[in-house]
Amino acid sequence: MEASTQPENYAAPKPAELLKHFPARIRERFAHFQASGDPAAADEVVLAIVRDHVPARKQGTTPAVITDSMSLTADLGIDSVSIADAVFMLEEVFDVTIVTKEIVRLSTVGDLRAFIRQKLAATRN
Amino acid sequence: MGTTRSAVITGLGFITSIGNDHAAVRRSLCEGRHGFEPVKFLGNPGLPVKVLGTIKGFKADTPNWRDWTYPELYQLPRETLRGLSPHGLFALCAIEQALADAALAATDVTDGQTGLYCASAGSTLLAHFHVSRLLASNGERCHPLSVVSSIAGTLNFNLAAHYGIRGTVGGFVAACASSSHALGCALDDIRLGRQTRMIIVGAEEATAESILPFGAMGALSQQSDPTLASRPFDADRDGFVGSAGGVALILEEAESARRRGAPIYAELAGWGSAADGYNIAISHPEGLGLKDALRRALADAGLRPADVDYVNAHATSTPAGDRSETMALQSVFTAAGAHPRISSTKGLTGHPLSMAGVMEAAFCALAIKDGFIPGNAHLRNPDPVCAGLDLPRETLAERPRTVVSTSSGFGGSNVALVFKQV
Repeated sequence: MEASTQPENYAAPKPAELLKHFPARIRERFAHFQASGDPAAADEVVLAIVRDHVPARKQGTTPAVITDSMSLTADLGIDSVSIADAVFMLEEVFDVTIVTKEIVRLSTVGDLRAFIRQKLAATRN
Repeated sequence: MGTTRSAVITGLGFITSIGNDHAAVRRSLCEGRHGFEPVKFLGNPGLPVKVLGTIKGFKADTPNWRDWTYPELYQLPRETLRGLSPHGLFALCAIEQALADAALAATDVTDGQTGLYCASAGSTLLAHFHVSRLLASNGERCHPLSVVSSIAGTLNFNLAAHYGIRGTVGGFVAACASSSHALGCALDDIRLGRQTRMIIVGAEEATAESILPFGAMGALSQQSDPTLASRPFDADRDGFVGSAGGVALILEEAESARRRGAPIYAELAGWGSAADGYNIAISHPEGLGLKDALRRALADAGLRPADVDYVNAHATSTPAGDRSETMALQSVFTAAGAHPRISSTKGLTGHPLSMAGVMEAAFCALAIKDGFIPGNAHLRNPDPVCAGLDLPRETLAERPRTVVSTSSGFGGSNVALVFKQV
């Protein structure tokens, strides 16, 4: 067997490609969002990306439904570096730009969800 | 020094080209099974590098951790995987094995008495990936974990955080001598009473980004036959074969290891280090620094050359490097009337760069505990310069009591380690 060949360049991945390891439901909701712009579908993708960043030690205590009032750090255990990682992924998935001073204002799940909705609305206008 | 504290090896973990656990590695060493596969980097058949020491059972040669696959027995949380490089994955799996081998739980290493020393060259794959995307965005976009996943030190950052290590934590960057430096400094930390237990891990990935630049130095074999590509001490050797993996070793203060009933492989009885003061990449033609490193190591262990049964040589199969090492071994051993068995296991493994020292230290521990001396795989026609050295071709069913392992890195950095049966 021939081993180890690498891609020759590292172009930015396509948004749907970034979600290929997420559950089928989330990939479907993302396709629906791309086709329709439905903000409720985008919300579901945002919440899946947030859940993906909940550390193992908090997964047992994280309820099946993540609600708007939950603190990203205090309730879900997502530290500031992981929030930056989640935001980086959200930027690529939704093709939006988020700057650091905007990230530091996000403390709850609702803040993040509303923020992405607002960014998407601005992009589509 | 009047030191009374000694250090023993109580756990080993292997992710190597010749096996991903203790039993597979021992079998490969005893039966002479190499870990090489044909490789075509960048899909380019014109490249002179044709053979690579590959890691089986893992698919982790791409930048996105979500695409990696690895054996199911490792349960690794996403928050750890996110900051890892491919070689960080190998290192983590090796530590998981080594802790289990030493009968330690992950909670045992958070006591502040356990330290972690790491060796790697960083991930040129991830550095390339993140920086090329940064530049493509005109400097505006960069992944927040790009630094901690790619720079030299990525192993220490990630592994110390993952395990909650509160003892001494650091990294070693002396190219191919790095993980031997890590072992030597870990031994000193235990002798000086600074720590009771040390985890030492070395890891590397073998990608186009990490391996091809060595070809530009003329350091790589151009052979396509895996039985000819890596042949240390052979007259026709033409360079090394790159390799990857992760190897972890647990070193413990001997009394505390005995008190807890830990399995003991061997004692790490001494070490020595010395540089050539000669060239940025080429080893000193007379092996000057390695001679001094060997003499210092034997003195540190309180041994004479004639006490040594086996030397696991650094010999990577490069024309210049193997010659220099031969000069050093003849000067320290042959000239003193000592004739230890000598072999380089890189004929089977290839050269995993900064990981070589800890990998070969682990082989020495296995040799002492399991009673064998690895042969010089693929050696057909010994270089005449090696006259007087005892270079067995086949693995011998002999139990060495005292073993020396050597490592040499760029800039003429040399380390020798001494292991003793306990």
